[in-house]
Amino acid sequence: MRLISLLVIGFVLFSCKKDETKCPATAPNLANGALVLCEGLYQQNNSSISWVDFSSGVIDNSYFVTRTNRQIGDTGNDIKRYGGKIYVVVNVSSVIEVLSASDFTSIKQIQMESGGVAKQPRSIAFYGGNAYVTCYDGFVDVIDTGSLTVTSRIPVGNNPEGLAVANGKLYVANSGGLNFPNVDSTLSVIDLATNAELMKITVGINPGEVVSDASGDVYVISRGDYGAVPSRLKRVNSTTDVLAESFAFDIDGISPMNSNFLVFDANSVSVFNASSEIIESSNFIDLSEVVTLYNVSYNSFNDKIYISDAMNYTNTGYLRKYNSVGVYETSYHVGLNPKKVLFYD
Amino acid sequence: MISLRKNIFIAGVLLVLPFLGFGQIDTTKVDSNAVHLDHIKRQDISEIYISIPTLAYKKLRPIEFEIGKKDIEELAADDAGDLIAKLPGVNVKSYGGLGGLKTVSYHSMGSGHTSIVLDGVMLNNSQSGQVNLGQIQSDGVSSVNLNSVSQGALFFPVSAQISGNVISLNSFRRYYDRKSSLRATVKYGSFNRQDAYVSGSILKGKNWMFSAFGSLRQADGDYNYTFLNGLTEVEGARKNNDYRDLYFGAQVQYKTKEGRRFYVGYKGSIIQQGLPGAVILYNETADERLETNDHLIYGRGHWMYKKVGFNIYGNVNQNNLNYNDPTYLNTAGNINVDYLNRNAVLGLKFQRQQFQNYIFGGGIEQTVSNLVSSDSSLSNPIRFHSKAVTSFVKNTPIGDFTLMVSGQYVNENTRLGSSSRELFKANPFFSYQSREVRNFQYQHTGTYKNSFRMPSFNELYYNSVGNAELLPESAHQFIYMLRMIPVESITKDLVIRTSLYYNRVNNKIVAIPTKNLFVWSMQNVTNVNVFGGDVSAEFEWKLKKVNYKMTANYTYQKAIDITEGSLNFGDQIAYTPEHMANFDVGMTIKNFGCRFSNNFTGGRYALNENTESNLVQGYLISDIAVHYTFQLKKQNKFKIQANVKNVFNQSYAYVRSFVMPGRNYLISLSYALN
Repeated sequence: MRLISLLVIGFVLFSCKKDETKCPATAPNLANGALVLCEGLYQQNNSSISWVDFSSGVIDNSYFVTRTNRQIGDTGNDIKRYGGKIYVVVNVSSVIEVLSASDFTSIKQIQMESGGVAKQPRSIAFYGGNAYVTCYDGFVDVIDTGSLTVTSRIPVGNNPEGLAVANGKLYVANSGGLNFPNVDSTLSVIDLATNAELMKITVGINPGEVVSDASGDVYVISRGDYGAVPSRLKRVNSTTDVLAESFAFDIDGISPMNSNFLVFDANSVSVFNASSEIIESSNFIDLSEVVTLYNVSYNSFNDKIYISDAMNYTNTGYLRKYNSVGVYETSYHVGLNPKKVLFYD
Repeated sequence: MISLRKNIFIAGVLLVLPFLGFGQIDTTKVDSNAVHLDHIKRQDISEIYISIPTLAYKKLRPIEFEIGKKDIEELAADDAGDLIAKLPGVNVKSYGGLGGLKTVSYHSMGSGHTSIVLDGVMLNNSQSGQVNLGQIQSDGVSSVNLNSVSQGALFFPVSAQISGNVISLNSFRRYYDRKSSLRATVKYGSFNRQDAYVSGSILKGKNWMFSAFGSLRQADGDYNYTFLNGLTEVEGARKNNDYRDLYFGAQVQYKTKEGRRFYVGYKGSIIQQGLPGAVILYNETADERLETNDHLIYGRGHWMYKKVGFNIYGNVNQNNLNYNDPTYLNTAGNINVDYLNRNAVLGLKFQRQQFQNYIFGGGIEQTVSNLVSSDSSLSNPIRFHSKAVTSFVKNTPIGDFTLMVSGQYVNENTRLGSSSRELFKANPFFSYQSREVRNFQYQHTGTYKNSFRMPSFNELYYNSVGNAELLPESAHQFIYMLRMIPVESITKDLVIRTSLYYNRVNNKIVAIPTKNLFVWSMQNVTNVNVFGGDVSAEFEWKLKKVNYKMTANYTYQKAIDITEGSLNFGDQIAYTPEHMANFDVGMTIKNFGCRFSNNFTGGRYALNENTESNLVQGYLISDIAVHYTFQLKKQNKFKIQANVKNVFNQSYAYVRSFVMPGRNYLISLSYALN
């Protein structure tokens, strides 16, 4: 019987769980820092938002949980601020989280479902009191930022990805990624006065990210086939709505820096002059600290550049800080697959 | 055809070469303590499936753990996976739900290193490279054996003998001393589960035995669960988890006067199931479906000729799989893909049972596998795999020494011509098993073995994920086992088994993102060191009219990433709990019996990085079984059994986000004749 007793005691000991109770933290002062959206991994429900306080260097990698008592879900794909609200697009969970920009309390979770099928939202842009959200089911959803309800759906191409506003129009990249290798190659142009598609412009296969500049140029990255067909930056004139130029350098992403852009691929970050449309400072950042360059963001409040390092995509990543001439300063250990960053002054 | 001929030629060479070396061994010494195995020829050869050293026991006590018929009945397992999870050192990765994916890992080695043998036929799926234990029915299984150090059995096919480890499942034996037998079971349980199973056999004359079985299972499967979302506990119901399967089969066996046996049989299954997928926070949509049709035709012959036992076997297997996602967000609006995987096996084994303290054995096997798909991007591979093994056992006063050498030759081509590969590998196996010491019947075994697993067709060729350059995943295993029986009497019986092991897995095949997060690929990137040990105890005692039985086992395993330059160097690899245990206690009084069964699985990491955010909590799941048997006339009996599973209604998941059901019930009525 002693043996049985020991075994029973053993089981009881093994079955004790660690205390998981955590007290929600008080809201830090959302200033001089950054919210870092970490995508997590597909079907792991481990997307997260980190708050990095640049003054103290303190990092809260469970910031969304500590402010809402719940997780953000699966595959956070985009985060942007519009007015007093922050919008987080969560792709696989198929929701838009709306939070207060001042204290990060949850305002509403918008379910993105249509006829029992998840719409799989991807990216968000704003214009005239509306939020425009690309949905992988082939639509751009229009959300009234006052009522926070979906007011209409605009049909576009296959699996729309990035989007940007220019010249009173919305430009939407139709990736067709779920038909790989037979991907799409078009950019839908939507009239923001009528919320109707005007045309599709062929820009190159697998279009993804879209940005616009002050002069009305729209830049879209045609991501190629991840093999023989390289990834290329394309320029569309938003006045004539024609493909104006294709740039010959490799590119994985583009991010605004004042009136110019930071463009990057796996091995280099350069400044692209939006007026002259040439690479101005080529490969100006020392990337020796970076394992996997996943995104680049410019913080206009402190004139610093931040690189999202995804490490090996299955290990938690880093936000690496550089000064404006590309000298490494420090790193912040954040969540899994950090990508988009929202800066606070 | 050239490849096939070449394979057969090489297999023949592999078989003969080792014998030339063994011819040098001195066979003139006579060992007075040698175990006399002549009685083997008086036994029915089909019953011989334990390795030769095991036959030395006066009372058959396998050195490794086994689960018997009574335990299996009481456990009322949903499938073979639930049974196998009761073995020490075994880790069953379950995605939940009836028929859901369950894969086995033994001593932290992946499922590709562990062969599952059902009634002498090695189950094989060259497409995925792993057997879904959730779709191997437990009805009719009479014993489950772990064979990590005793794989040299004549009964095992060559492919199982030379694999890393073997778990064998044995159906109810058909006895020639009974003219007929019949078993029938119906079950009803939670989630609208309904099962029916029937099997029977008839003896015709003295030589022919006909047997057949059929089973039907179905369940709605939409079980409720609770789930910790951040700091908030939420409730939900697992959707799209319906399941229906139909298993059926028949066998003809023929026995000669001399004890030779020949079997021909067929087993088939038709499975339709929803795929609930992971529980995705805030998104409950799920509508993917999988339909699987499987057909297996097998034949075996066992006979003795002048002290040499022979086993010839062959089987042809066809597995059709249809995957359908009716709401996939591509242009077509759905995905509907068919896969057809075929495997054909032919093998011959022999064993010279006793020759001046030596035992010789050997075998050859040829396998042909292919995969065809309606997905035009798949390369439609065909693989010729030749295997040969030879074994040599030396009985000495201090124990039995076994040397086994195997060789494998693989030739593979694809329809699209994207790959052609040729591979030859030789693998040694060495073991020493001590004589049984009278006091406590101590017996030690030390084993070294080297094995490898081929990449599956999916790992090699599945769209952009597959990598045709993959190398086989190889493993070195060092195992020490001790079995002792400190108590053995009519009323009390205690058997204790322990093992210590060290494994080294090289070129472990894992899926990793390569170019970016969209582009994953299979790579040989990880090397793993595994240290561990397990201990198990079985204690039976009789007190007046009450029989008690207790089984317990505990496993500790440390499986560490030792890949040079790895970000996770020194970390425990994903989904490898450090601690696992089982503890079952039961009692029977006359026709009444009950059992309290517990399974503990410790915390494990969902990813290789050992961070708290990746930690999946451990759990202890307890089940209760109560049964009563009505003994009717002669060999008739009728049994009613009730099972309560997950008695304490634990919320748990083995795989992150694949939640398991809470408390659930099952009631069974069984009838058995003979």
